[in-house]
Formats: sequence, structure tokens, C-alpha cells
Amino acid sequence: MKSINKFLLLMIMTVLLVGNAWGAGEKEGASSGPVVLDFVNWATAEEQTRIRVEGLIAKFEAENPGIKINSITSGFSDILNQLTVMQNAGDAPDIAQAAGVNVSALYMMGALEPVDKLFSQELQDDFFDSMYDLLVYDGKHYGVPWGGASFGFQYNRDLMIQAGLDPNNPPKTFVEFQNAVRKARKALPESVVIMGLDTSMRVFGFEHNYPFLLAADADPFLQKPLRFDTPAIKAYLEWLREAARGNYTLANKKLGEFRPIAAQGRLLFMFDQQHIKGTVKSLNPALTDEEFNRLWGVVTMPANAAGIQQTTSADHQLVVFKDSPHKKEAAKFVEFLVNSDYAIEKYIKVMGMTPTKSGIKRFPEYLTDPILSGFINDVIPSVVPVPYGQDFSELALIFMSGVQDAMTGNKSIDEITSDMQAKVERIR
Amino acid sequence: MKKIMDSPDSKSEFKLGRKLKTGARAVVTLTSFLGPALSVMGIVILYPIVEGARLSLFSYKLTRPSDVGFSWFDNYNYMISDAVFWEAMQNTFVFTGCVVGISCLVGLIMALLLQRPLIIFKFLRGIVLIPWVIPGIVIGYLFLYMFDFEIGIINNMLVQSGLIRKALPWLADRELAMVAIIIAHVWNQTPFFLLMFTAGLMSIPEEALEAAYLEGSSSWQEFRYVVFAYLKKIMVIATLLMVIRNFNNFPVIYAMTGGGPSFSTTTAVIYIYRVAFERFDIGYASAIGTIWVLILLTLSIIYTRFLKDEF
Repeated sequence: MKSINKFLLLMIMTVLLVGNAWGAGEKEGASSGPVVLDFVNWATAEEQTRIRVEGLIAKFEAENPGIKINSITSGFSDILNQLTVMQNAGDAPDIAQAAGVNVSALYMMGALEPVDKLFSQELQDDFFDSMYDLLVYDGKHYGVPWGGASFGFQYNRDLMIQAGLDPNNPPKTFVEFQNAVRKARKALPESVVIMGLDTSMRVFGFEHNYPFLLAADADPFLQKPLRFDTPAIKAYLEWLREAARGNYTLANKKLGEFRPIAAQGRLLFMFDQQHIKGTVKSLNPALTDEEFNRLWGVVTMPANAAGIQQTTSADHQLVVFKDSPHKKEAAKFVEFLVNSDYAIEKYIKVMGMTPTKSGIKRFPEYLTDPILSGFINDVIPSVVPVPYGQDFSELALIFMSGVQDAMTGNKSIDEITSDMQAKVERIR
Repeated sequence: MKKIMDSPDSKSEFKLGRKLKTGARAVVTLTSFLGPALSVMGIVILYPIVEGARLSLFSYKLTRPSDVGFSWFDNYNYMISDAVFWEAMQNTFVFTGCVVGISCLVGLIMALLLQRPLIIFKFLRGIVLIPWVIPGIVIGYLFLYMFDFEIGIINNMLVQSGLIRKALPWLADRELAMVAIIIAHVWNQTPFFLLMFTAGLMSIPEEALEAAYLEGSSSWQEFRYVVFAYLKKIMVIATLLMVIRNFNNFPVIYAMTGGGPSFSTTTAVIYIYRVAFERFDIGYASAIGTIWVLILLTLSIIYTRFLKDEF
């Protein structure tokens, strides 16, 4: 009996101790101590950005002793899952890094705070319209751009010469692009990959294909009700089938998997973002800035039949959560990340991303660097929004499963598009 | 007072009181020992299952918070006509059947080969157990790079040895992708069978083998009628255990193919993940999950029955 009493006593004491410690922890964060902001991001998950972002956090905390940043790391592909789980468990963070579909999905879950009243009009006017307006839902902005990351068209000049193409005249239309790819495949050795298109079954895969769908006049979101079996979409899938079977590209690859190939000088055309120079140089430290600028050119995406050049963007953005009890402090940290000289110099510029308009004026390298200025002058003005909506993720995955079927299977394109359309019609 | 205590009524009351006291003490003891564990299990196991079953009766998409509502068996009706769900089920059975079947066979052969009492075989037995202790996600990335079209060692070895002329797109071809993930899992799971069979072989009494020898039985007859007879039940239990494990397998497949190309390597658990976290359709994901729980529960019952019969 004595031993049972001892056991019960031990259990009660344990419960009291744990409860006490828990309560004490909550109190510290809630009242007397510094304000703690939970910041979910993928920047600290990647080795090349982790140290930089930790440096930004340290600098902000030193300047604002009343605020502490609790950085919560999540991989780029997993961040929406992480945020969805946190939000639905009633444990939403204060701030998160986001890109592409993330903001629209979180907005539709009712998780985000509109930022129009959190930031000064001056700061809001300082964002590029084509970047800031991507974040508008129901007339309000639900995030701010942290660094512009639009999809541009990059070409390796040396390989263009080898392929018999003009390195000063990259393809301007989708038809010219297709012809250049076919010609290059015949001329270049098999070790060279002709184009680095993301065909992974991810929403990001669709976002990467979307500028080409626009160029091929095959936008699957154009018709209402939606049609995924139009002649233009069939032609696009035929083109991807030709690309896979003709070894123009590697099927089922993510965009990031083409970067090492680019760093080895074995990729002719790639469709990457502003930070391409920093990324490729980190993969090939022997590559100097001058050599990269000589080797690679940047323009916007090829034009459609009407001559309109359009691209999309997967900018790195920052969002503030509706449930955050510290929105004012969160806004302060966000403003530091997007527009302080320190953040632009140590992170945004180094990563090759585009900051605010005044940030570009404060750091003139943006206009002297041929890659960055190519993005600022040519690519960013042609950015159009991706038609995110309530069922966007599901539709994007249906489309990408069709892309993979076309590239890796033997079903006829008609059969594939019929399947896709049937799945679209089944969405509830 | 003494009289009262000595009366037959008071004696039986006293006994009853003692019994009650002992019973109450036993209840307190049992509650204090089992209570915490049962509470934790209830919270982490039972609650999610019940909540999942409840959610499966709701139309519940995270991106449509205003449309959440009770929808009876709509999700189950939708499942019946969902081609991808059936493809995922088929993939799960093919994948599990192949992985468990091949791993079991290879494990058995290796256990028989390595059972000799030589130091080198003991050492080898230790070495071949290594794949079993490597985490799934590491195995996934290991084989992702090994099967890479461009830099993978598998293509390199096959081309060098002249077995193929050109590199194969292992993870970008519908059939080859399934083969690749099966190979990765067989590599990982064979040691488990090896371990089980080795233990089984060690438990065979020397007398039984000697009797077979004295009867003049051939090696095959010795294996068929003595060794296999002793290993049969271990084989059934180990196989059932691995069937359950492979039905729930996620990290290796997700790291290697993400369930692609298209849905060719999408198994049930990967499909549940995609529906829940890419389509945000929690109601439908819960419905698939509930069906899956029932399948696994059935297998678990069979498994425990076997255990009960055996031990």
C-alpha cells in the first residue's frame, strides 16, 4: 500500500511540476519578457541562406531589444503543410515566408491579416506594382514582397554558338523557341540538356509551366467552365511528349535539379528566377561574376501568337497571420526584412532578388549588373498573376499528372486530356 | 461489543467489507498503473481514429471554410468512382506484395547461407543488418541519387557491364519507377527477414536434424520437412508484420518519386497525404484514411490471432 501511495504522490508531483513549468513558460512569453514572434520560413532550411537570415534576425533583435524572433524552419515544398497544420491546430505563427500558391491558400483558409493598414502608404508605394498586386484578394493586400523572383528566360551563349543559334538574338516567340530547341538537340552532344523545365507533380511545377502555356495560347484557366482538353492544350502536351522522347529535357525533374547542370555548363535554356546567378555560383565556386555575365543572357519569356510576352512570378513574400497577438511588432520585423539597408545588402541583393523601388536606387549595382537589370527592365514588367482560386492546387495537380502522362506514358494525348477533363468535372 | 463482532451476520459483513476493501484497492492499483497509459493511448490513438471517422462524414475543404457541413456518405460515394483511389489501391497491393515476397525469399536464402558457425558468416550477418537500421528518408534520397538518370550509379553499372546500351530513366518511367522503389525497399527490409529466420533456425532442435539425417533424408527433404516446418509460423508472422508496415510506407516512396510519374507509384498513404495537404480536402482524406484503418485493423486481428496460436 505504501508503494502505491508513493507512486500516486510521485505522479501528482510530476503533473504539478510540468503544469507549473508550462504555465511559467506561457507567462514569460505573454507579459513581462520580450515579445516573441514566431517566424516560419524556408530560408533557414537552406544552407546558403540560413546564415544570412540568422544574421538579419540577430541584427533586428539587437536594434529592438523588446522583440525576439523564434525562427521555425520548414522546407520550401513543405511550408504550406506546416502552416496549414499550425493554423488549424490553433497555433498560427505571427509571420511566415510564402511564395506562389501559399498566400492564396492561406487567404482562403481565413488565416491572414490584410497588410494595407499595417504598413505606411509610402512603403506600399515603394513595392513594384507587378509584385505587390499579386497579393491582392478581394481588394486588399495579404502580404508583401520580400524579394522578386520572376521566371525569366536564360540562355547559355557558348552553347547557343555551338548549336548554330545567334547568342545575341534569343528566341522571341514560342514557335521560334520550339525551332531553336529542335535545332540545338541535333547539333549539341547528348550530355547537354536543352531546356530546364520543371515537370514535377507539384503546384510549383504548374507555376513554372504557366508562362509557356500562355506563350502557347494554351491557358487552361481561360475558358469558363474550365476545359483541359482544348486543341491548344493537346498541342502543348504533344510538344512536351516530343521534348521527353527527343531528349530535349529530363522528365519529372524539379527546377532545382537543373541548376547543377547549368552550373556545369550543360544546360542551354533555363527558366529560373532572379537568384539564378547566386545559386549557380554557389554550385560552381570557380565561376566568377564576370564569367557568369558573359556566359548567360536573360530576357523575358517567349511571346504568344499575338506577340505578347508574359511571365509569372514566385516571389518570396511575407505574410502576417490574423491570429497574431503582436501584429504591430510583426509589421516592424517585416518592414526591416523587406526594406532596411542591412537586409537588402546582406540578403536580398546577395541572393540576387529584387527589393523595393527605393532599394534599387540605394544599391546601384542592381542597374549595372546585366542579369539583375535584365530582370528589372525586361522580366518584371511582363509579370502577370497566376489565376489562383479555391481549387487551384487540385487543378494544377490534375494538369501536371497529364503532363507526366504525356512525357512518360504511352496513352494517346486525346486520352490523357479526356482523363484530365473528367477529373476537372469531378471537382466538388 | 465482542458479542456483536462474533455474531454470524457481523462475520459475513466483516468478510464482505474486507472483500470490498481488497477489490477497491485492486481497482485503485489497476487505475493508477493503467490509467496514465490508457489516457495517453486514448488521446494519441483512439481520438484521431474517432475524429477521422467523424470528419469523413463531412464536406470539409480547408480552402472553402464557409462550405463545411455534414454530408453523410458523400465522400465514400466519391471514393467509389475515383479512378486515382483505385489506382493507388492497386499500386499499394502490387508494391507490398512484391516487396514482402522478394524480401522474404531473399531473407530466407541469406539466413540459410549465413547460418554456418564460421566467424566470417557471423560478421557478414552483422553487416547485412545495416540497411534495416537506416531511416526511411535517408534510404529514399540514397536510392533517388542511385537511380538518377544522369549521375546514378545503377545506370552507370548497367551501361559499363553492357547489360543496357543507354541510361534508363528509372524514376521518370511509369513501370521502372515502381521497380526502383521495390528494389529500394527490398534492400531495406531483407535484413528483417534474415533476422527472424536466423532466430528461427537457431531454435530448431539438433535432435530433429539428426533424426532427419539418420532417416537418410536429402538436403531438400531436410529443408522441406524439418527446417521449413519450424520456420513456417515465423514466416507467416514476419510476413504479416511487413505487410502492415508496407501498407503504411511513406518516406522512401515520397522521397524517390513523390508518387509519380503521374500516379504510377502513388500508394494509399501517399494519396491520403496529397488529398489532405495538396488539395486540402480533409473530409475526403479522412474517408480514405478510415477505410485504410479498417483494412489495417483486419490485418492486425489476423496477426494477433497468429501470435496467440503460436505462443
